[in-house]
Amino acid sequence: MTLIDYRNENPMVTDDAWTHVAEDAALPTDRPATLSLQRWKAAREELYGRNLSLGVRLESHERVEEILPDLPRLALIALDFPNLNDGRHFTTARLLRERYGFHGKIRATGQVLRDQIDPMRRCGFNEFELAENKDTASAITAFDEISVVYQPAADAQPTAAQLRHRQSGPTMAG
Amino acid sequence: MARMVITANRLRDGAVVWRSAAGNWSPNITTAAIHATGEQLTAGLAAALADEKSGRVIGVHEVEIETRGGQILPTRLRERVRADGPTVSFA
Amino acid sequence: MYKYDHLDNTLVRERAAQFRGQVARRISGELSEDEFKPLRLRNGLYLQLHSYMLRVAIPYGLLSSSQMRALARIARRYDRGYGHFTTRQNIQFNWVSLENTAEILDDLAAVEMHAIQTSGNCIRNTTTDQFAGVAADEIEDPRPWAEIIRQWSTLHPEFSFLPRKFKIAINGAPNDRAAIAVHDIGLSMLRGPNGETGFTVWVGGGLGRTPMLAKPIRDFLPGADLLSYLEAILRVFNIEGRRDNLYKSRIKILVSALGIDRFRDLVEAEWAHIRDSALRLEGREIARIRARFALPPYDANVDSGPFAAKRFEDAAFARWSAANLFPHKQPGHAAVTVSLKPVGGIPGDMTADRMDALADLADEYSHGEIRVTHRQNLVLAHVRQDRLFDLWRALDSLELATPNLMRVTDIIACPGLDFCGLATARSIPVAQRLSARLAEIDERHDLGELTINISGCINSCAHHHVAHIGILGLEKAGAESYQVTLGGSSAKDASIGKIIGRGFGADEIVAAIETIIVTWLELRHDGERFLDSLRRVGQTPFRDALYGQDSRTE
Repeated sequence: MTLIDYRNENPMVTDDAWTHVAEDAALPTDRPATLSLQRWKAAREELYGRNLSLGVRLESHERVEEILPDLPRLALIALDFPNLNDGRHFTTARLLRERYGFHGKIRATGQVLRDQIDPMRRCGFNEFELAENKDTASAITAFDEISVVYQPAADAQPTAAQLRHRQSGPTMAG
Repeated sequence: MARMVITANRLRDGAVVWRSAAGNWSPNITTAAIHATGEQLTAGLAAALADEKSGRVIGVHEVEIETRGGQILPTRLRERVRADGPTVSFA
Repeated sequence: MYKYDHLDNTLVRERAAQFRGQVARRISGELSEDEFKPLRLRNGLYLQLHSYMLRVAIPYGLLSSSQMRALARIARRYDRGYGHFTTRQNIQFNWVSLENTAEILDDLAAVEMHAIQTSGNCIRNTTTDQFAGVAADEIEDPRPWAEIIRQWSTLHPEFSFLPRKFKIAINGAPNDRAAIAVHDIGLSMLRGPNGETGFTVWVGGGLGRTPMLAKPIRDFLPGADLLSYLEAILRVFNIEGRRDNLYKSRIKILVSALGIDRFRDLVEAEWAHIRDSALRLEGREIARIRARFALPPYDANVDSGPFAAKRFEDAAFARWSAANLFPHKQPGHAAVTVSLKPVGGIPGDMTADRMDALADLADEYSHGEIRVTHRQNLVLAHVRQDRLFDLWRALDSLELATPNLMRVTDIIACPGLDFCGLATARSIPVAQRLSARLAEIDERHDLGELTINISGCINSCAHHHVAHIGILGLEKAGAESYQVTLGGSSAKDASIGKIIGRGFGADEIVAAIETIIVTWLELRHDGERFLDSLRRVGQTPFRDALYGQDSRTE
């Protein structure tokens, strides 16, 4: 399985090192793994002892607020998009980055199309598993399509308003 | 079973089209294949949906019709408007 | 009006190129229709009954004459020589092909226009008062704020896939001409204690199948905090709004389910986190945008004598002046409504030739600017009173001078079943027949202000719930059936109309409306508006006239 890894502002297609562990499957001992929110909550104490990178998967109705104390222990949070219309996790990703200071990977999974990954990136996602049968290699150009942004988000890109006033006049204090 | 024809819109320009017995899509309802049995309709719809999947048409659906003086007339107003165009003169 | 800088230009051109790619991937089969549909909708492209329809954004209804000419060129080249102005102050082209849309978007981008977010589950075109900037009763020009909202909402990454569409309206005067009570968010401008700009914020209004008036969520929002507060509302909606049922996914349902107090608590809690973020508007960006809405240079010494004299001499001109002029803040000037409602015509339709002719008139009489109203008319906002007579004659020769603003023939109608894939009944033919019939009655009885809106399905694009007389076309047992509501208003005294009784067939509806009006004339006090009479006497006389007194027990 390949995915798009957007790291250091440089998107690339890579092989996926992670395993999404099914509800009743055993945890791998040799590679990083994600668990469902239910399983994580049930087993978090015992899992804390493991010397293994772990992640949690959140379905679109699940709230990141349920795992806030665990965030420092998590290397990845996978946010699932069940269909093209459910945009809740755009907000989840922004909260993770901008409010809860999460520095790990945020991965988009499920029905992810190339036309969504640039707004996802702006919200703080940095890994993208495209929907089945979608061409991952050609999708990385999606990040180059729109170069101007009007609103602040989780990315560092200056907004149009910031650019307009950067050239002229003194910069804002702070 | 009421008699049915199969219709869709052409992908590239959105024009209303009707499916003929030969499997062509024509803007003219007079060439539409009339399905009088459930089996005929099922087979016609399967072929039409294959055309939808391949991207020739979108919005495949069946339309109940009656025939009057050799003319094919959809029974629902919506489909009559689709077959004949807007009922108002515009522009 | 707002002029793009290179950043605005770049974004619109890149968006057009992006859509070109999406269309190419659809035609090549890389995208299925299920995948493409949300992408084309958020760029204004619908599939209707006979063709694709492209809805072009006219931000807050403001157009330059050169933009109007570009719309005329598009109408000729890619459509059938006309366009249709909508209740969201936009324009729709009813006969475009998927293959041409990328070219149309390029043509639009060349004149600083686009189709971004004119449909889809995202933030739509922000609408405002068509007399913004010139109205004598205005507190402040709302257009710079509408432009600030336009920029913030354009391709907003977090709010690209909301539970449902989202509409914002902003009004700058005590009289509401932007129907803010029936929007997801309504903003009404006011001055704070120290003269600073602020907004009263309303939330959860909307029409459709569950019409509701918006509720107040904040009495005073400082201007600098506008975007952070909007973002807080949208964020709560994005997370909490229902996604399981299309008809329950608008914010009005969420606000009513939680109650406005609980909803306000959630918004205020979210706002506390983001109020002091980069969303806070800087004074110099507000000033930059405001400067682009500077009013044109007016002549301070217009002689209003000729205007008065011509009204005295020419009864037709006097009648048009009384109906279609609006008081201007600049003495000696007027804002002119150009009626797109000729008696018996199609509400909101305009041919390419008339678009070009009106663009010329805008250059000659109104500083090259045109506005689209949510009543599907146009406005020339800066006309000298001593030139009104000449303008009127020119408009009259173009059949654009019907003296009927807010009168019974100024009917709002959606495209209905003649064009729209969602419609359940036709709207346009009903509007045409009503207009022809009611024009005669208005001629004899001077019916005054009386609004009629006709929607061809429950989605209520023509806002029938807030018309004095609303008509909703449905399909009943395979035939068109028209349900009548009475007593709606979208003005400051906003109200949702009430259904009068069972619906009427296509061949009965005109007579039914005539019965309502004849009944009203019998009980009308001198000069009274229909709405005021109705509020005074209630629905019973009208119900009795339509259905007979025997129906009272029903």
